[in-house]
Amino acid sequence: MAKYYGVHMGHIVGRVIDTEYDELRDYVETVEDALRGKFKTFQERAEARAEGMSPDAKERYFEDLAEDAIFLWDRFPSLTWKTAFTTAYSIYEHHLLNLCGHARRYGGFDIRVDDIKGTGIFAAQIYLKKVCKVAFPDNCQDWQDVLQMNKIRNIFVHSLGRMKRDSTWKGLAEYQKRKEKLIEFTEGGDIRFLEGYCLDAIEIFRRHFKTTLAAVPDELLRQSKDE
Amino acid sequence: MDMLGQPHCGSLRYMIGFLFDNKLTELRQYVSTVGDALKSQLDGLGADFDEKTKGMTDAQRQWYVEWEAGEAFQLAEDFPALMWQTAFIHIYFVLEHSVLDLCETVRGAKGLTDPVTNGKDKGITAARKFLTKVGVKFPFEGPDHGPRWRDLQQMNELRNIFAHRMGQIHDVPSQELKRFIERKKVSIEIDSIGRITLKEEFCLEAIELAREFFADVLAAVPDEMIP
Repeated sequence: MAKYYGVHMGHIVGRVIDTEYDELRDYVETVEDALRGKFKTFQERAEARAEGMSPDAKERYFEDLAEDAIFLWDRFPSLTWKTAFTTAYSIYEHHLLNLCGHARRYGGFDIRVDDIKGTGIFAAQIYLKKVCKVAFPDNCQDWQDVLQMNKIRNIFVHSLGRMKRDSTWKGLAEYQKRKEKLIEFTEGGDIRFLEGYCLDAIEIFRRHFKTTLAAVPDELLRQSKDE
Repeated sequence: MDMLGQPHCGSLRYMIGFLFDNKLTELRQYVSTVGDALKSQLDGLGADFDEKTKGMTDAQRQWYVEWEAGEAFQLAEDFPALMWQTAFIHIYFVLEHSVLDLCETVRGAKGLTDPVTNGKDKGITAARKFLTKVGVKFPFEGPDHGPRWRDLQQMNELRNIFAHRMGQIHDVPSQELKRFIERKKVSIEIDSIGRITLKEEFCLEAIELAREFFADVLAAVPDEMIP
């Protein structure tokens, strides 16, 4: 019978991912809040300055300020969500690949995740299933969402968020419909995150990673010695 | 081009340069605005300290200080660092995407069938190979552009470290990256656990480097390749 000793990597990894996602979540909420505060101050100052102006002068004045207002209200929060989303994806991918490394080390497998055909989360999925015989949770809604988020991440990374009218767009349409309060596609094919999307994504990544972690047997997460 | 060698307003060359510049200007404003907004949040945290701790016992005040210290540290250190890191990744995406997009324009103009990214090269390296192959005379390794090109390659490596390894240098970094980090030590730090942290100056320098590089490459593309 095997006896396990030493540090259980699952506990450590679980805590690390919680800390990283908590921090990212706090970051998004804080920046949103800070930008809202900036916008409010900007608006109050503009309204105070416009007091007493003629209607024409007021209109011209507000037109001049429109770009700054759009930046604070729309563009900068949007940029925060996009950049935080790609970070959330990186955290998930990084820890999933690291998990393969722990499983290889404690399970004593010769094959490494780098030897698997495919990259990133797909290589990790195959490695955990085929090499480590882990019941990888790929038959659940969270994994389906992760797959869609992988496509979205690639569109941001390689096309700055603009989709071509191809099968990817069609494939994402159902996902977008399901998340219509959180994400929208413009006519031109730009992906726009709405408030809440990034936090929703963080929770899906976190939950799916933890479900995966829970599926990895103890012997692949800590050292054992036979009694 | 007009008599002064400037692109005609409304020409495709002008639009490409204009859009790229706009994206970088927006990113520059983003870095400065979010930095300011986080600083305002931090100032606000300290400003009402007396008000919030009025009537507290010494022990309660001490507990409150410790509780607030975590938030203050996040606002002063963690969140700006996260913003600069995510902004840098985005700056690099913008550059890479724009250079590859420029290559696609040239490819279309010349009626080429081979894709821009062919084989194992990716990103700006693939773009360099493509532009050289189609006859764009841009001295990537020359005395004027060589240093910039080499800095961009190190930025590419840094981007990959952030995107795939959460900013952690596991193995010893390449000699080139080591030298680059040493040269930029005012704006890049490596902490005791080998994690890279960027400063605001690094982001601003990256924006300027991208701006200069792209403008020079665009200027080197002959008119017949940008219809």
